[in-house]
Amino acid sequence: MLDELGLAVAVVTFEADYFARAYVEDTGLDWPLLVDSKRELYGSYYMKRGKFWDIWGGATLAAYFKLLRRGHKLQESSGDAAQLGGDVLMDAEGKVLLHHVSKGPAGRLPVDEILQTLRMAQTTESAPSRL
Amino acid sequence: MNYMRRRHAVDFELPDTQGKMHRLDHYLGSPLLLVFHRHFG
Repeated sequence: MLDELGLAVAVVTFEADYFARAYVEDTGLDWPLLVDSKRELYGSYYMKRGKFWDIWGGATLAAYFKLLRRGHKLQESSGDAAQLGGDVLMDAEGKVLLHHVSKGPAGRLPVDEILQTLRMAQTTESAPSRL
Repeated sequence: MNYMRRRHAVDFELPDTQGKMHRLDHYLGSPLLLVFHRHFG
């Protein structure tokens, strides 16, 4: 599906290169994992460290409970658990189509919403302009 | 939150886990999704 849309994906982490390499080996991640150890790109997109209740609020506990029910095992964090993540979708010219900063561990955007945003942008681009 | 919507993406130059450098302009010409990870674990 991503190929149909021509969408490239890159994952960004702030964790140390050693942990990043181990993560790629453990997960078989197909996309490049870019290491932003100074968190400059995180900061440029307003992805800061969350407050206590952003990280450990009810939504987080519910998300972890759901994972445990699915059989996932929780692991001890190797890094800064307060760092927030997010998603930035841009078009082929580098214009930002979607910028989402998660409010906590449970705040990721659904993939469908990201892909729908791209589809709508591509449809608009390909539509004939009015004379 | 959609502060950056319709603005130009922030330029970057970051290494991947193989040591290869990635820059924003490498990706221009196709749409790009940057997924900012939280901690591993």
